[in-house]
Order: sequence, then C-alpha cells, then structure tokens
Amino acid sequence: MGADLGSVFYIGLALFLGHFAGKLANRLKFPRVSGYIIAGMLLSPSILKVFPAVFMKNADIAADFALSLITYSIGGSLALRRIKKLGKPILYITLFEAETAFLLMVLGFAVVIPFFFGVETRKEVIHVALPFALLVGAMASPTDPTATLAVIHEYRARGSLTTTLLGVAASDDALGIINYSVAVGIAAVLVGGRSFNIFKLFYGPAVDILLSLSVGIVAGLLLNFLCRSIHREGAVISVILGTLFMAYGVTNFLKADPLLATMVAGVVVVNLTTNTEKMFEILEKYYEEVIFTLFFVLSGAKIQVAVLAKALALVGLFVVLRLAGKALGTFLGGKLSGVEPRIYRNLWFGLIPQGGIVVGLALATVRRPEFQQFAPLVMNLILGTTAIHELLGPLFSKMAIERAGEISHEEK
Amino acid sequence: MRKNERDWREKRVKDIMTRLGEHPPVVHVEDLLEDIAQLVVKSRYKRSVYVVDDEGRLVGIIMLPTLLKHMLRGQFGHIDPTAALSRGILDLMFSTVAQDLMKRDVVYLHEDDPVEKAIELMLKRGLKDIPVVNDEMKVVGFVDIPTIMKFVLEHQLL
Repeated sequence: MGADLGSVFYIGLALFLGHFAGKLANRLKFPRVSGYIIAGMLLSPSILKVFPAVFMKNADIAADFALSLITYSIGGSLALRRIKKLGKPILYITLFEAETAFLLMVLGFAVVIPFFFGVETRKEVIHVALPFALLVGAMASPTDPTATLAVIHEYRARGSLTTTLLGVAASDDALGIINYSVAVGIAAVLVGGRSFNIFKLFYGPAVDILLSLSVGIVAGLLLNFLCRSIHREGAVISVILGTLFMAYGVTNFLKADPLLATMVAGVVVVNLTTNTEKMFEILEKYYEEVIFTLFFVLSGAKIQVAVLAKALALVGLFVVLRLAGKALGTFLGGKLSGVEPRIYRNLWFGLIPQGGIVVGLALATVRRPEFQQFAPLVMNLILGTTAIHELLGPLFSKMAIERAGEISHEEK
Repeated sequence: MRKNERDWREKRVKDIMTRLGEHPPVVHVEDLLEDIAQLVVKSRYKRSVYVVDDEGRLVGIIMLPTLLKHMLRGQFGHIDPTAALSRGILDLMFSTVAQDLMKRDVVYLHEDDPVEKAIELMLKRGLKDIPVVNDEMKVVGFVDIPTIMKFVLEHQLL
C-alpha cells in the first residue's frame, strides 16, 4: 500500500483485523493472542507492507498503555492470602521452574552468542554476549496460563496435576518480571562499555529496583487510598489508569524499570483493598480487549523477516533451553516439595505455552536506547519463539494431563 | 414543608425493612461453599448472602452470581479460556470458604438511619438490596428495591 492514511486509520485497522484474527484463532483452538500477533506480522512493513514504517515508530504509546495494565494485573494475582493457600508444591515448582529456565538460558546463550555474533575478545563477550544472554534469559520464565486453561477446559481435565499446572502457569509471570528487572539492570551496566567492578554491577541495578519498588508502593498506596471513596466505575477507571500511567512515566524518566513499578502497584493494591472486583475486574471488563488487541497486533508488526531468518538457530536454542530449564526446575521443585512423581515427571510439558507477557518484555527491551544494537534480534527471536510455543504448547499441555491420567475418559 | 414530606423524611430504615425470618441468608466466614449453596436453596432470600464473624458481626457480602461462578470453577466454563489474560484463575481455584469469595467493603444501613439514606445509597451505588444492622453490627434485616417502591407509592412521592 503506497499511501499513508494516518495513524488513526492504522489503529482502527489493527483493532478491526485483530478482532477477526482473534476469532479465527479461537476457532482453530489457539489463544486469541496468537491471532493478534499473526495479524500484526502479516500487516507489518516487512511482509504485506500495510503499516507504514512511520506509523510503527509512532505506535509505541499503545505498548506503554498495555504494559502498565498487564503488569498491574499480574501484580494483582499476588494476594498474600492466596499465596498462602497455594501450598508448597505450587510455590516450589514455580520458583524452581522459573529460575532454572532463566539461569539455563543465560548460561546457554552466553556460551553460544559469542560464536553467533562473531565476537572474540573477552571484552566483547562481557559487553555484548553477556547482556544479550541476560535479557533473553529473563524471557524464559513466564508461561501463558490461558493456553493451558483452554486445553484443561476442552478436555475437562481434573486432578492434582491440573490444579498444580494452572497454579504454576498463573504464578510464574511475576517471577519473570522480577528476573527481567534484575537482568535489565545488570545488562545496562554491562553494555555501558565503561570499566566496571562487582560493586558497580550490583549497585546500579539495586538502586533501579529500589526506585521502581518505591514508585510502585507509592502508586499502590495512593490508588488504594483514592479509590476507597470513589464508587462510580468510570471514575475508578480514570483514577487507576491515571495513577498507573504516571507511575510508569516517572519510573521511565528515572531510568528504572516501569514494569516492576506497575506490578508492585498491583501487589500493594490487591493486598490492601477490600474490593478486588472494583480494583481489577473493571479494567479487565472494559479495557483489556481493546488495549491488548492493539498491543499484540502492533507487537506482531515488529517482525522483520530478514532478522528472523538469521535468528532461526537461536529460536531453536531458546525453545530447547527453556524446555530443559522447565523440566529440570519442575523436577527439583517437585522432589523438594514431596509431590508424587506422576506430577513432576509430567507437569513440565504443560509449561510450554508462552505469549503475552514475553512479547511485552521484548518490546520493553527494544525501546531502551542502551540496547539498540541487539534490539531487533531480541524482538524477532521472541516473536519466533512465541509462535512456536503457542503452536506446540497446547499439544504438550494435553500430553501432560493425559500422561498424568487426568483427562476424563469420554473426552479423549 | 408539606405534611407528607415531613412524615416520610422522619421515617427510619427499621420502619420499612424486611426483617430476617427463617433460614436467614447469613453465613459464617469459615462456612464451606457447598453449605452456603445449600442455605441459599433452602432460604427464601435469593439475592445475596451476608457473611458474619465469630461474634455474629457483618463483615462481608456474597452475591449469588459470584457464588455460582465459584461452585462451577471445576468446569472452568464461566471463564473465557481464550481471553488475552485470565488472572482470576487462582482466585477461583483456591476459594473454598465464605471469606474467600465475599466482598469486604459491604455497604450497610443502621436500623436507625433515615429511609432517605437507603434511597440515596441505592441510586448512587446501583445497589439492589442493602443489609440493615443494629448497634452490635448484627444483621437484623434488609432493604430492597420493592420495599423502597412500596414506600414511594405509600407516601405519594411520585
């Protein structure tokens, strides 16, 4: 398409086609997110060239909106009273599978990347390969609970593996954001190129994290305080969005991690509020679909076929390392928490689906000026792996519950 | 001030409320989902269930659709499993007793509150029924929309 019809038109087009792509994905038994991302890929400047490159540059604000809401709602899943109820197996397995996948990915990529980039000197390894490995590693932790939920729903699965699987899949996103925050902080120091010592390596990220935590806590307290006396739904939405966007902007300005800040705001609110429905469900009801459709279509449109083609080997490596990390972590967490072997031998198959939040993390990375040198590679690598994880994930989730004997007989 | 206006403005909630009778819709914070459902089936109150603590004080309210949603959680039929995010999963999976599903900031009336306050709360907050408590925070009755309509008709406020 030669003519540029202006940003408003393309936003409309993204919402419109995104809606139908989401419906189509549902029909084909995939999460709606997959449909949004694929629609975006097709419309991208690199495939059908419907979205002009100028529009793609201007569209980042939608990503900021969506990311602050996604992370706030992830924070909202961390109510202390719920965590206490999750029980040892879910907590242990979540912790181990998320962290083992992260560490294994960092190690694997740190070893392979120097060859891929053709870096040779020790300095280049530290300033290029290690930060890249850290950023990508943090994206290994999250699991998409919706794909898992869809499979469980379809096969009417019930049992302890099903419950544990859902609990783990719904909880590890929060750990993913914490890992990401730590990884970004360290990676930023590493790419700085200046001489550094161990003190600097941890001091900078620690300050960033403290700043993000503080902004998040203040935003959360403010939200909880203000919303106590507001009852009209429209007004509550205005105050929540206003506070979140300001917290996001301030943290960005302070060069700390806005995703952590908005997540912490969610954690504070969910643990203080007496009405979670008002503070979380209203947003999901009215805003989720519009903002997410736009966000995922635009994320998909970031695909660059040439970069993806070059990164295919890395996509394969990511998928394999993540799976190995999830398997090892589930095994360790399961053993330590003393669940039956049936669970820790099969559960990791169900942890493959990956969608929304990692695309968000990749997009957040791309936007940081200090990571510009490998931003397109991170984005395309994650789009590639997300496509694979969303396609294969449901099949493996089914395998997990089938092997554990939790698919009701007539549904097979 | 016209006589009937002075008259209705002086009315208290306790003058018009429905008093709780047999099988009141009141449950304890630790009551199980199943027992709450049994009570609802037996009770003639069909809109919400009031949750009380050990001393019998009102601490929360459960709307019946919420109760049904949690009863069916094993089916996952009520959550859209293909939505972009389904953060409510954990909430649903691990809710077993009244306090897990109740709304904590319950709006209530004191039996000595003016009827005007009841009307104001219903209109401003879109409430369909409001529990009424006494000095000890014990639920003694409730005011619902038909009660208010009857009141409006009786006092010719139309």
